[in-house]
Amino acid sequence: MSSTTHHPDYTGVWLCLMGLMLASLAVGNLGLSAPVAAALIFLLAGVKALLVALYFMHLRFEQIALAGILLAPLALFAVLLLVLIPEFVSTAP
Amino acid sequence: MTLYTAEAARVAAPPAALPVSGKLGMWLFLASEVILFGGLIASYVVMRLARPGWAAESAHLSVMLGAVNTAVLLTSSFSIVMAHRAVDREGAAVAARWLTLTVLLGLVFLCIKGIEWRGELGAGFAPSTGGFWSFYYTMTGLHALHVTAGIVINGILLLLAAAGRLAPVGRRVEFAGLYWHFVDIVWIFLFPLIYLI
Amino acid sequence: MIPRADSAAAGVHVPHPEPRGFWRRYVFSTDHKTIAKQYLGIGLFWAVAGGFAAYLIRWQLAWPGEQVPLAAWIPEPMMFGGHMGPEFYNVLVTMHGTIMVFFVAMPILLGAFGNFLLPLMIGARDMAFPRLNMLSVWTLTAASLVLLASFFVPGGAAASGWTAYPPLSARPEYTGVGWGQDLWILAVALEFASFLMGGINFLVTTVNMRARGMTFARLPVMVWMQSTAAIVFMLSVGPLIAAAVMLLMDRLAGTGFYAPEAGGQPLLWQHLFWFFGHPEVYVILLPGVGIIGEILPVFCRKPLFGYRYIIGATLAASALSFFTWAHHMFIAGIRNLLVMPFSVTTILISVPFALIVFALIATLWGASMRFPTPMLFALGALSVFVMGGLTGIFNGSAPVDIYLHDTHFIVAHFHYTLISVTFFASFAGLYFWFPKMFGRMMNEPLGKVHFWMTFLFFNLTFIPMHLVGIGGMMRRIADPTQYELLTGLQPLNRMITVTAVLLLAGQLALVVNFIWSLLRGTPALDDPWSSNTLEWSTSSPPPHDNWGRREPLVVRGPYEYSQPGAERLPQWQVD
Repeated sequence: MSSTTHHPDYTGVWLCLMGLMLASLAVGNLGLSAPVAAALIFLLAGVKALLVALYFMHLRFEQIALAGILLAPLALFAVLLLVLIPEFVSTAP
Repeated sequence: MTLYTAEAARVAAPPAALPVSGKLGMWLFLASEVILFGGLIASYVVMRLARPGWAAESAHLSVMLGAVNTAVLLTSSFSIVMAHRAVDREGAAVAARWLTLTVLLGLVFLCIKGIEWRGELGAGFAPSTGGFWSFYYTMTGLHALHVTAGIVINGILLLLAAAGRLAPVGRRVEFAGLYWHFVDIVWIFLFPLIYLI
Repeated sequence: MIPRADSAAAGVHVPHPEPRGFWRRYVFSTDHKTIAKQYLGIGLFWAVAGGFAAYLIRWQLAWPGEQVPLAAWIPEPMMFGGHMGPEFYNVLVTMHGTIMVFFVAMPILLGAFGNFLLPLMIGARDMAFPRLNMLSVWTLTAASLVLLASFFVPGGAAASGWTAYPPLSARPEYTGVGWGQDLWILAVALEFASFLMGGINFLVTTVNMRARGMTFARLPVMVWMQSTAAIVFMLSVGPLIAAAVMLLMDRLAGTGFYAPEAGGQPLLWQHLFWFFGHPEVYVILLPGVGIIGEILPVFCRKPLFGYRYIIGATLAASALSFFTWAHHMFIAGIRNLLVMPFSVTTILISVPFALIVFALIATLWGASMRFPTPMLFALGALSVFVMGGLTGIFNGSAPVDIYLHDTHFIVAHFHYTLISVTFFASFAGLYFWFPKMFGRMMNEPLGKVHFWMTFLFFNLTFIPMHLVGIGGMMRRIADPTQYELLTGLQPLNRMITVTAVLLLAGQLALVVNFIWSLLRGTPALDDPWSSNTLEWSTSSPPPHDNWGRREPLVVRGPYEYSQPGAERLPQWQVD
């Protein structure tokens, strides 16, 4: 049975993912301060996740509403962090 | 015995505007999974921020094995979407090959995870050793359970494809793929969260 | 195994022959109507168990340590010849809450009414995923068996409250409960799985399976409420599942998530629990509001006032409900700077709910009302909910809550809000849709007796409870007389117990009515109430495929009553 799914260049996406993974391993050797290195690593992770979501999961070619389904839990994840961090992370020693 | 006619099963709203039910259902399920892992990961992030000493604990993990596992999962995401493409294009036999690779890679992931755990437990790092280890085993354990479920689902589709009975449910390779990509994305974030920082 | 056509396509119901044989029709059924009745059966079973627990609780509070009538059969070590100790009291309050929230309210309001009505109201032949539907009710059955089993393991059933706060729930030595707590976690987890499956089914069905002409703007308000409740549940339950996994790890693997001595945080559980717990009460509330919204127009012969505003307010309140949770934790030791924001959001959420209440009241304005039993219960639900909402505003104000938290004022508050939907709205729905579900009418005079006994004794029980709470009586204490400051409240406590027993006894009217009507009730017409929504266009009960040869064609909204030129205009095309 065939569908009208658009199939992008999956191999290309896979190569990008591998590259990004190696890059995030290399960040540790760049001599950056811990917070900056962490931010960079998570940025790379975010790009990887976006690639998987947009191309492997086809969100790039689906209706926007489908991506919207994911936004709600992500927003709630942010809310949890926003409340739990002041609760548990104190700047005092 | 009443059999409905095809006429009675007429499609209701315009199908082009609405996502296929199985796909919509899977995305809704994934939304609930996002907030499930979100709750666990948010707890870890917050506790990690509150306990700077945990960075020293994570140094005991094998970044190499974690990285290999990341590559394994990324490649298995690639292979399952290729299986999806094969269902549309080359046919069930090719899909079966890609599904085989996906299942194998999933099993490799679990094996490597098991090797890691054995090493860590042997070195005296148990779930009860400390806060970091409590989260480590719980998060990777919950993720591994999800990987296992995915392997089972993919395995069933593989068996159907190999037996030439995939055609009626071919769309489900796409839906199983969505779940598998989600499991991959969770690991994409778990890996740096646990191993790299 | 014959390969089935893939039912994943949008809107296509896979034709299949009507099931035959006892097991396929009544036990392993994929028919949403049968599944709804299975949910109803589970809910009613647990309602009896939860009600009995309430009876035991109230008797103990009124006459601490004395023998409770009708309880001598309960074996040791739970009770001792009809006497209970504080340990079993803790089990009772835990189980009463757990049972009522997870095994009565949700199965009846979402499982029974949602499953029965959703496909019918949108003109579908069944849910989008019938087999998943069957799996969901079987998962709830498994959950029920696990919860039942927890009473009989060494150490007895869970006793740390339905909220299961650690360390009480994490350390067996604090309650004496062992496996019972683990089984409780498992039972609740299975219940969550059941309703996650159901929620997915509801949402996909609403989006994809609507009949021709059934636009979103023509959906009955009940469908909006069920779908919104499904969304809220699915987005809120995750962190509690994560928290439960962590609690299980603390109990079984020696981890230290919540253990202060291991660097853990008991408050983490509370945050994760209530992140779910607060939206959960709206998950329970919304279907009840939907029931009221369906019944009022029918017996007022007037359109529902402000349909779009009700839906908008519902969506707004549901979204806001995710930002109010810490009002359950004002005195738990949370960071001070969190208190006021949560107080603000909590009081803010009364605005959309007030809008909904006003719209429902406006529906009554100028109406030509009739008062059969469903209408009485719907009006009762509305008034009881308003009372509960008013006390909610007091509790939301953090300075006031400092005094009121963990007193019986809170107990009174949430019984007003919860019972408004779990009792009154559910009963309204039961009397209203019983003809459609079972093909027979319920007895009207007995229904009115049921209503008045319920309404009278409910208020007589819970209004004084506010006073008892303000008087300082804490929650979850087995013997109020142990505190000198509370001994003056005992007369009130005893009165409350008496009216509570009468409230429970009044439910017998429903039991008798239900059984008698099932067996001997007047056969029901297709449309006994002259109502406009789609389920009334088919027979009572509907055939297996809901509509026979042709699905309905929808040509208007659901509340066209008393229109110029027509007493009522049903939603479906009449030809």
